Amino acid sequence: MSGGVHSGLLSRKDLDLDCDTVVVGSGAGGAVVACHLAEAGERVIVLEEGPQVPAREHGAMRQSESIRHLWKDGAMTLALGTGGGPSINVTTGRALGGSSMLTGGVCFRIPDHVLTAWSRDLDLRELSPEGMRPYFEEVERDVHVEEVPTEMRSRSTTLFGEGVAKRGIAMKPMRRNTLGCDGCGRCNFGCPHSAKLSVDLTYLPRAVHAGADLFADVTVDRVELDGARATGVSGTFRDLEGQRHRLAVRARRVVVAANAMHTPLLLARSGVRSPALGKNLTLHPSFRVMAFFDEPVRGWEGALQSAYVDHFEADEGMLFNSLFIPNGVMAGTMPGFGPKYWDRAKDVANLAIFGGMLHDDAGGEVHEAPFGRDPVMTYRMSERDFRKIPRLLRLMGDFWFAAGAREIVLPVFGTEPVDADGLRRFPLEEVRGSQLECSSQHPLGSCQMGAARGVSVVDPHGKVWGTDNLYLACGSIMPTSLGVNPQVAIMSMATRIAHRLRERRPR
Amino acid sequence: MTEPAHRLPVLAERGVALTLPDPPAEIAVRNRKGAEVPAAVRRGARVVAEALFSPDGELPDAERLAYIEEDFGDFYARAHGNARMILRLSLFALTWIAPLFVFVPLPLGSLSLRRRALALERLEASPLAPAALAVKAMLCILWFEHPTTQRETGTAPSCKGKVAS
Repeated sequence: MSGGVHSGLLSRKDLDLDCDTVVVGSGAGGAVVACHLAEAGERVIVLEEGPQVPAREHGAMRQSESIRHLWKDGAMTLALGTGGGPSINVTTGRALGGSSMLTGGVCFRIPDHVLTAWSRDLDLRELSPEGMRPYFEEVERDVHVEEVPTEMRSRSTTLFGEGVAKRGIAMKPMRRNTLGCDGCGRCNFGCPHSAKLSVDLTYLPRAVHAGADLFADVTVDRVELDGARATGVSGTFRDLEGQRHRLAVRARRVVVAANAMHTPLLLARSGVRSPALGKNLTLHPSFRVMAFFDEPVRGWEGALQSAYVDHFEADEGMLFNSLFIPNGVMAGTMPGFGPKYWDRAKDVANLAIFGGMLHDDAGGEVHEAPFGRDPVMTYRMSERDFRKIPRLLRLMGDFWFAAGAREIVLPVFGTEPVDADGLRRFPLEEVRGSQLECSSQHPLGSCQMGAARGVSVVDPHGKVWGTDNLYLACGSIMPTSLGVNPQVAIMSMATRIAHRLRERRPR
Repeated sequence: MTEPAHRLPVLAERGVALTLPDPPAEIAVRNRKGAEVPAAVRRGARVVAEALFSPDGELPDAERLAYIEEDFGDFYARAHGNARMILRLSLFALTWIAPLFVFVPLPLGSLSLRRRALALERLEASPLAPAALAVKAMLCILWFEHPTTQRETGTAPSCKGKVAS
């Protein structure tokens, strides 16, 4: 049996569909659930707001084309900083395959100390390191997680590693879901060689092979609830002529996996009430520090992400990750306009870059916007997290200078690059939140999983409290911040939920 | 055309294709119609680009300015969600508020290149910096994708090549 891929754009009339399970969202969570349930013989429909972009088209697109076609809000989504903290640029994908198409392929298991806290302190007993191990192993097989060879590191990453080593700290190789990587440094824009095994190349083809139907370019407005029972979803779509049509899917079970920004809004619009709904959003606020070297670094040659430093994670909640961003974006952070700007921007090939990420407290909230259907996010960074930023930036600067950097570029708006003395003198401790350039690729936790109804949105098996058959399976269910890139965490939590669901066929 | 077998042997054995079936060309994302682009958006982006990419205080090449104006418009037309609103607000700030930093109550385009750059630099050092960044970052991405810029700066895309894993 084989299903298919459809687009709302090609339908000239309302769509009325029927299935066992409807899955809202086709990213790292939704694709996994759809795959397992379809392979268990269920009739599955997956609904995705974004377009289908075949893997082979990624290589034909410039990076800015990928941003305009595949990234939510053209990569300009903002979590508004409150309480003196920074506003945070949150980037996510909006396409069949979701953000998994735009990750660096980084695959971390949820750290043991996080799982221990979940199972012991939050009473989520099955989410212990032992309890989660089989799901991690299954996901790692399914998406081919492998260690990035040292030879695949970019010069930028190698230099940072040299600096770290001079301080007596080890840089470790990352693991990624790749097979046959060419090291083109542009995973965030869709892999040009289909070497990154995102869900559009793994779980979704498996789901279709097993009979699932995927619908791109359709918008789900609400989950239909009859008392505690979900009876399906409803929404809209536009055809190629711009005519609006109605979408109705009747289902015996509903799984929402629309990410931590949209899932709480969809639930709220559907009448789900919970004090925790839309609260406790974590973002892993991240800061990049770039470094000028005297010779070309050409940091785009190599794996976009290949190594990390977790020396400070368990005690201080800081993780340093290798990364690369487009040359134009790096050039865009050089201060000034005209001659002053170009004086630095012309040497962008000499720039190296590394990222530092905070294992944050839950300070974010998702709100309904006064207009449109996209959410408004706010983020109040905790005092504890805010105080870590100067140390995080100084550590990264120190590693760069140990590696031989001439100057570093701090993520503070409008400031000049500084040398080692300049960094020592730089009043980082006095920098206001509004002056900091901060980003996030990991919105999580706005519909937390918990053992008690009053303080969480879903139960330990992903079912929305107070409903019979409405489940969540995306990053929104994370009970706390992870401190590591969440792709495998989301896939593993979704696998665990799917395994339980496939043993309980919907009635 | 036969779909290529999956890269993962375990899936190839099960007959799972590497990719999903392609959508028809008429709905390929690059063929989709974008939103209308107001003339003020194109003009505003060009005025900022002229100031930003003038390494020796002279106007950049007209052909490249036309390219970036066109491409910025295409980005504006196609980007999803709140991107258009953010770019318009950002351009408004650069066009009308930046000149006030050099005490000129006129649109940015009426200033000389030198005064324009100064006005934008002062705005960039103010609490309005994020407004400058949205447009500046987008213009820079587009500028650095141009083959001439890539030649000038040694940043043409290239891969490291496979290594044995």
